[in-house]
Amino acid sequence: MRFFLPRYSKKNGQKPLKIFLSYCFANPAKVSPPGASQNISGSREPDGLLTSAVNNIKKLLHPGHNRFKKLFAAQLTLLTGIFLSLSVFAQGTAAIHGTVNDETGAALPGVSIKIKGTTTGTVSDVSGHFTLNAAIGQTLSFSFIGYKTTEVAIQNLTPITVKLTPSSSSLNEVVVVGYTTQKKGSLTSAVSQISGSEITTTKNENIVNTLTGKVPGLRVVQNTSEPGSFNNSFDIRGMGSPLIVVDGIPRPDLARIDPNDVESISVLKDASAAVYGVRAANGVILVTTKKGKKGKMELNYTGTFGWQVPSKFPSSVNAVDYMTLVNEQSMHNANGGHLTYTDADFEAYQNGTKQSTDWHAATVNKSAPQMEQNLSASGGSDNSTYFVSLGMTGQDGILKSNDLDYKKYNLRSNLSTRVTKNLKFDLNVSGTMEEKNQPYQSPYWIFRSMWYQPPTNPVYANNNPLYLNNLPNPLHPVAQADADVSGYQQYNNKWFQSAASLTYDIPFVKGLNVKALYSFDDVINDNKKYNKAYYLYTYNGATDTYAPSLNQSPSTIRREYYEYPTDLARFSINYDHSFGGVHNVSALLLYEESTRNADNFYAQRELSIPVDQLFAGNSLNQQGNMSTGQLYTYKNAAYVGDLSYDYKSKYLAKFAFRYDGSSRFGTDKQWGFFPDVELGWRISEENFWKNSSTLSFINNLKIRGSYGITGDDSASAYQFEGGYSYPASGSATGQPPGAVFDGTFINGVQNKGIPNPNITWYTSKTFDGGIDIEGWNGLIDVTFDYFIRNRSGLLATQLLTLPDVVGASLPQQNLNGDRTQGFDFEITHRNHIGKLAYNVRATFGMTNTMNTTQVQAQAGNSYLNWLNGTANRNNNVYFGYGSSGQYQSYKDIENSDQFTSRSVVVGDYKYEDWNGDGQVDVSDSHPIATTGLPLITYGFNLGGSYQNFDFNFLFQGAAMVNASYLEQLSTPLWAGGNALSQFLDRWHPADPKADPYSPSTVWVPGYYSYTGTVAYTNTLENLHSAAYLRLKSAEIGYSLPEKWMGRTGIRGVRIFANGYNLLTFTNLKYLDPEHPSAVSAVDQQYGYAYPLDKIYSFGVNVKF
Amino acid sequence: MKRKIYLLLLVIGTIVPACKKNLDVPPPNIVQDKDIFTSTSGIMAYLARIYSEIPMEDFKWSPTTGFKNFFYGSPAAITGEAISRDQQNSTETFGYWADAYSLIRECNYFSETLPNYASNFSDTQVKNWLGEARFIRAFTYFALAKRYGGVPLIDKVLTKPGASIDDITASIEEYKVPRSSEQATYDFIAADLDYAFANLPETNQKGRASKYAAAALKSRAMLFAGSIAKYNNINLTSGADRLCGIPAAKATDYFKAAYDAASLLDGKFSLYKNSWSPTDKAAQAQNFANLFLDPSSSENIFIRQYHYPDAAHWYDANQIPHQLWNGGYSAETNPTLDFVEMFEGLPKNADGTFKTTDASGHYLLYNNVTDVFANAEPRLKGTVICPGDVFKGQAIDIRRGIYTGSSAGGIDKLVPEGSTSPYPTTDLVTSATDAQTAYTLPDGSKMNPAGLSGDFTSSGVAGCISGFTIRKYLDPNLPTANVTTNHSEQSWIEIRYAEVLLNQAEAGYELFSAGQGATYETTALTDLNLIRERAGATPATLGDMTSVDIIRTERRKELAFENKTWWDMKRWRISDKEQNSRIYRILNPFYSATAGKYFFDDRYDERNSRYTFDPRWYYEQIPASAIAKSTNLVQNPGY
Repeated sequence: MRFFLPRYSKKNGQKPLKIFLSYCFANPAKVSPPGASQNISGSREPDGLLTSAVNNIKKLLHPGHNRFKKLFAAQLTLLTGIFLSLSVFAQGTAAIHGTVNDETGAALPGVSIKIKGTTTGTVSDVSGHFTLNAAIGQTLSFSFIGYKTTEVAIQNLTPITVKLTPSSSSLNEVVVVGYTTQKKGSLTSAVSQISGSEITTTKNENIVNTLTGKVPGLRVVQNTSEPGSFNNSFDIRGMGSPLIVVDGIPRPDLARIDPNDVESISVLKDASAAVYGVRAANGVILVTTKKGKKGKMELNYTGTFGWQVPSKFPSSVNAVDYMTLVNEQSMHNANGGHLTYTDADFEAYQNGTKQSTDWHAATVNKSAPQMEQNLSASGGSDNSTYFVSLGMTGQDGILKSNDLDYKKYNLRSNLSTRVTKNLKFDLNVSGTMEEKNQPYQSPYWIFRSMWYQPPTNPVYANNNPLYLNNLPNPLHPVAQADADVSGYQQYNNKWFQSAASLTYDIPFVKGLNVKALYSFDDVINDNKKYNKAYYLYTYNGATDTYAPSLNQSPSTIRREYYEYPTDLARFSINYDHSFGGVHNVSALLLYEESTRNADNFYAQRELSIPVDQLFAGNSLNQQGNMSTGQLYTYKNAAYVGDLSYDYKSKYLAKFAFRYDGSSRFGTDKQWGFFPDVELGWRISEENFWKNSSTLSFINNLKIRGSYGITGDDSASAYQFEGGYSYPASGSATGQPPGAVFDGTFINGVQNKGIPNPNITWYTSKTFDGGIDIEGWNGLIDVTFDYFIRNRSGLLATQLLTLPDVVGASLPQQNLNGDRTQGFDFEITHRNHIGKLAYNVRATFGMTNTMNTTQVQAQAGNSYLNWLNGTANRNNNVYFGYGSSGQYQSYKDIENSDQFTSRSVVVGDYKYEDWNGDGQVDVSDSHPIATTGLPLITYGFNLGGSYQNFDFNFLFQGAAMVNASYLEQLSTPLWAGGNALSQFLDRWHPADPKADPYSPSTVWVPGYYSYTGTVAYTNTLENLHSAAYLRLKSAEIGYSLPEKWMGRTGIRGVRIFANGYNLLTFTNLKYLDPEHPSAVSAVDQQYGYAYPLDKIYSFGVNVKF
Repeated sequence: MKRKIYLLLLVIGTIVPACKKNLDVPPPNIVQDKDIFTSTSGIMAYLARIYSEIPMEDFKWSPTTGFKNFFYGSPAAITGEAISRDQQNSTETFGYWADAYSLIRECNYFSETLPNYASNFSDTQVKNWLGEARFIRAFTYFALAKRYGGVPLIDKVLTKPGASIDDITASIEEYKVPRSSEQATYDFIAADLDYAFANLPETNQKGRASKYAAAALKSRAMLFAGSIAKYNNINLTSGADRLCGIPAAKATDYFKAAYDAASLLDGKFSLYKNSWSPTDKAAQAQNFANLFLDPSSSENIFIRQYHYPDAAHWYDANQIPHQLWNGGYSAETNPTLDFVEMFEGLPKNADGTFKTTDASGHYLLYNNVTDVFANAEPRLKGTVICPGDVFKGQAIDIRRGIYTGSSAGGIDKLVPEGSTSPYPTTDLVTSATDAQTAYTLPDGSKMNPAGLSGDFTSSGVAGCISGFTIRKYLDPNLPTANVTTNHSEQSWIEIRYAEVLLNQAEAGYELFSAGQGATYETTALTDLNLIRERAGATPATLGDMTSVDIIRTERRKELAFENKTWWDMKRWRISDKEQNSRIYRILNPFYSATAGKYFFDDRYDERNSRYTFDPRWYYEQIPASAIAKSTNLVQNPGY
């Protein structure tokens, strides 16, 4: 935002995004940012436009950011040259008439007709007729959703009749399958590919969230919508974290890729990933970005503006309810209870003497704005093509202080030039920079404070806004949320990615080329953390004074710098040839080596004066150090081969391998061989099928299978080496990393324990069997896959088997195994009914992982052996107690068939006496649920268009997933804090002063037990299904009729409204079902993670 | 064109290597023995590690979370010395076992490896360092023995250097070392400490062990062994070995060893009396408080130092009276009335309990809240903050509430003697939180219902809950801004000379009562009176020496809140008798608005929190995981 706006000043109390949005909304004519809007309103002459665009890009990049400026200066110069070399031809024209019909011969209205290479075009009318001015020799392009784009050259002035054929058959679609591409028709592996246009139907700041429900077998869980956190759990078929490959290079981040830049995303789900060797065991996600297409330059602007509204965010009780609950808790004592709050305490809130504090209203807003914009240009000549794109994203958080926000800028330039007839040069460069600002305390911790503070505590001491109130513990959400009070953290991240390649077509051998590629990437994380000391005050009513206390003292400033340069060099030989149109052969041989480095340091100083810069710090207690975990050099080298053969596209075979080496292991354990074999049979190509009138409606039927070996080296750095870590690990709160002798702190050395020189990667053997069916020329398209992956050599320590007295634990060894299996399928249907064209796609995936081999110690008895045993058991089993309801009455307690302690009251949970021995204890623990990501994920997408309207609805869901909560989400008044409103729905005596242990007490039933009774964590009382179905995204668009554009130079305008997470159906009561809980895969935030959001957005897409 | 092809081929030629790439990339942050054992600073890094791992019950010890985990609460609340909002009735539950053997391995490895590199150092250096490793090993074994009884005794690194995983796993049976007898364990500790005494220097850096630290630790360990031999009734044998319990006949030997070890310090150390005056009670109290904060104290034998920011603790934040807090927690250790009553100089009933009412059952009224403690033993004032005591220049304002009822004719007890009922809500103004509404007294002045340091009735507010807060170890010079987590730097005094005197006194008395001679009794009395004199308490006479209890009580008063009492109560085997569904007592100060005077109500802990010591806790449960890995380990009785 700072690129466009004067530097944000705290004085006016508004954030850049807010200012910008209000600017946009107040000036409807300028919906795009001031920089970009000049493109629209500026010169209409193409050359002027180009210059203007380039100048604008330069302007966007200009202020202050020299690193990027330099980075892209060369690119921009190049681009300018290419842009300016383009020209527009003008010729004499005449009116051309014609008719468009569908495959049945019926008139097809609404078909877009354009003169190729120009902006001139029209649309067919109700009877399919059209007229436009064109010259003989020009080519008309007919396009309509659901039909193949057809081109017809104008040979004379006679009316043209064009018959469009449905385009839905995807057999010729090109699919990226690793280092090579294949046509979908001859694919023999489980690869799902979706196009960029399918991705952008969901509008979200994070491209991972736009994939949810769209790829069968790709499980995506959004953990938070915290601006800048990009926190998702996603995997392919439950196999673990996949390798991300962007334009052929393994790269660390998927989430920040601009969806507008994406041509396609291809998901390798089976052994076809073997060409990526020791990093491919969990599958591969291949992102291909857009390339320029030959033709006139097309400028494309998309802007989306929206509001984020938390999707389920619990609220807290008010003072009267809080005191009621506290009294219940203090009455809940079998040794004799008491009432903490007297009638006078209640009276004060009821008669208005005291005000209940609404900590939520003081800390958070109900919604926050966000926006995404992208401007791209593409085109090219016979020899050179280009695609350049500039994007920006801005997102505000819901903190009332406005101190949580995020902005991102990304630029991409993909250039391709034919240097000579046989030599092609490609240069792909992209840069992303982002800035996340947050208060010094993380948002989840602020929410935890917000929920924690009792409403009887005022925000300000004596309600005087000059004095923030000192609270019973240092969790003041308003102070924590305000960077002016308590400091901030700023995360500046930069990604630079580049790849240059030369491809040489060997002139004498048809289909043979050699290619050399070099890639250099860098990631820089530059963080600034300002811990600002601040005062809170305790009011002394007797003396009317405010006693200060200093929090977060001393103030510190900390800078952290991490850098991750990587490079990759590759040389490949490709061969692709069809012998007589019968024997189709393609082959690849490749050598690749890559280096990944990580380095970092930080510096921290204490501050005497509140200047948030390192120079202002004290030399006493200053720190300069580094994180040793982020200091490494990993090298990989590999030979890859790939040979595909098919006979008349009927019998398909493929063999691929990677001989891969990794520096993470001891000298003898570095290299491994990872093969992949695939076979397919297109039965529908057999003559008997083609000739059968009953079968031929199925135009494609293919059965296929793949089997291969992949590896995973991710978890095993340097365990082959013994020695000491220096300094030792430790912390000020626990055991320090060293000791103090004579007043001087000495760092210790920590023994690394026993090394394992034989440690190596783990090995996955994956089989996939699939069937592809396409009927009625693409009307129905079905793909079904079954898979099984056996892993062996998973790292485990024999810790449990080495007695403690040895005093050292064994290192990890390649000991364990597991098996993941499941199935996924996709059904597609495309059709049109009159002017209504639509497509339907359903995806479904199910996966489950079972431990096979597991080392473990023998327990004391067979029950414990069973309980602790993990071998041959699903790896996500959750043990706990079942539920037998709640005690309904004192009689119910007396007559209970299990032991009840004297503290039990009406409404308490009855845990299932699973083994029927009359008491509930550890031996009643049994599998009650699953943990981790959902085992079933599915999606249902309905898209289409009617005349100028288009729509897309994505329903998406998950099943076999659970949620369980901790701390305040499971316990009202947790640790002396407040209660969430949900806990008012509880069993409690009708008379709030009644003794809960008196048999005459009358009870009011509720969902939870009486205050003070908390469900055991590991029970069905505290664990609920988080299965859900939701309308993940809905988009309705309207394309302005082309005649409105006139001669503005604008080729098309589409406006749209989009909703994200609009509707959710789930039995989970109080939180969003995707929100992290104690049993989901990722929860380092005790269930307090920043909430997921619903986004209501609208936007515009303009093509020039 | 051709030239371009050649160029391309040249590029290819440079990229593609002729053979397999060398992938040996050394890890950047791993050091080896040769980097450690060849320089003094390397040895210091090794020693710093093992010193940091010594299992001492210091500021970071919590019975439920361990030696090294951050916690809020008070370990003193398991003995009845105090009550705490965040520490209930409990025994140790964290299972110190695997960490002990890890430290023992590091000590053994050091002892075995250092001689190979001895040429780099002087003989004295090597000897001293070996003594330190042995001292730490003995400390660790004693930490195990006092918890579990007899334990496996490992005196060497069990795995051979360079042994492969296969060799190691093949030897697993051999590593399943069974428990030795409790007696053998104490003998092992004694031998290690004798070795340490012989090799360690007379003095060492602060924070490191000297020869006398070894002797003092030996007196502590042997006293423990003697007590077990004499008072333990639990028996567990495995074959010929008695894993729990020591034959009663051995008691004298161990008491004698304790006595002799303590005697090695005679004349080497003295009690801290830097600001003591024989006539000034206030100076005596101040001297006792200073003892724990003066780094140059002549009484310190073995301490653990802290230094901000690398190694700090949070004792002050945990314990500071609420009115001096800096946000966060405060006043976690609230001494019980049962503890305070042990001291001299307080108004007492005939049965020794604190006197709060007159003969007619009405509360005794005091003009000032401090009057009732005016003659209290100075050591109590140096240990505990009583209502109205001055700390950091402020009178610590502890008050339960303002009594607004009539005081004419005396005020009756608010709840009957011995009642566990809550206070009535009529005639009483209290405050649930520290955001109080001031009460207007009859003279028009304003008073907070609860004192600025509590008691607040809502459990969520960190105020005083017993009428007392802790003074021992609390740093009066720490700026309030630093009364926060990990800013406290005062040293933990693990062994001080007063304990050695009390060890000698107790061992001496036990020897005397076992018929070993009257000189032992005389020494015990001398030791006792050295302690009492410094405490400002009345000296004892031979006539007072009627049982060992006089020395035990002295020990409990002197070493209170130093995390020693828990182990003393256990070795004396009195925990189960003292804690049998017991509710500890507190002393609540009230202000009578109509009388304009203070009164005190002694009553049971208002939370009705009951303490019971399960007798099987005298020996802790060996962690189930340890037995799972080494099945011939015999579990202690009752688990």
